[in-house]
Amino acid sequence: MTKLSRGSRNLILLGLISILIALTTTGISVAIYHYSGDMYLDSSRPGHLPEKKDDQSEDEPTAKYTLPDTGPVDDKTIDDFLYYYNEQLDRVNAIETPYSSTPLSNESLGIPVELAIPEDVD
Amino acid sequence: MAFGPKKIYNINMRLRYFLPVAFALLTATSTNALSDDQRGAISQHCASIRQSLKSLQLADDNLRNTISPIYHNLQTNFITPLNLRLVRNNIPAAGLTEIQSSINRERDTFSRQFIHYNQDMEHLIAIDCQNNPDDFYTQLENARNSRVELANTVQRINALLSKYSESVYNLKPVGGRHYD
Repeated sequence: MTKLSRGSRNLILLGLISILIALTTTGISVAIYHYSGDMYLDSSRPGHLPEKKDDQSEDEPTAKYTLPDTGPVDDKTIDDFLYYYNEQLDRVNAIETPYSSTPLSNESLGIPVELAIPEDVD
Repeated sequence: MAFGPKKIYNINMRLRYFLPVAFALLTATSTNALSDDQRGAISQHCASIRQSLKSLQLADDNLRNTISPIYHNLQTNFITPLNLRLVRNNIPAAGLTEIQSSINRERDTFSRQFIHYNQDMEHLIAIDCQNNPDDFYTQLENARNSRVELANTVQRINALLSKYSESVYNLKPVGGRHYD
């Protein structure tokens, strides 16, 4: 069995330490990502990607509208602004009762709703 | 030494047994007492309840993916540039700036509350509802409270965005007055 030279041993050791450091830092990063809650704001998770809209045409005018931060403030500016602004706002207001309590209610989950019985009932 | 190693060890050992018992008593008195029917229903339908919760989690995330970009677009491409334009035109718009600040704050609150709500849901789904229906129901109540807070924040953001629209409309020149 050939003995490894000192240089070869050091190279192997360097490689192992590098792998160990990489694994440790990756583990710490993943732990921070999980426990900080940032993973819940990450839309790129598998199964949580935003749904692609088939019809993009209704979004195109609004997507193209930008208001430069310089220029006059006249009727036309305000009217254009409000037209596109309210178009976006209507999309948000069209969502009925966002995060309503119904999905977590006992009825929705199939848990019987118990009514409190007064103690003095015969 | 007043607290030697042996004394510290004894205190530690006593706390080890005392604290879990105290915690159990506290949580037992603070949870909503489940009836036998409810306990049975949770245990029996644990799998379907858990599946419903996972679907709900996905739906909630999709909803956030829908409304958050709209909020961001309104703030970045509408509110901020208009407020800047008003400042550059020396048009008093303190109210609009205040609304913008409020929207910023509420959006940050929404992000924090969304994280907290999802953590509650993850914890809820992880509980073995078949064998621990009481713990499950306690955590369900926590998730419900988090969800209510989230709903209230979204309503506040929507109200502020509507208020901004009204305030901008009121900026329109009246009687031929022009700002340019």
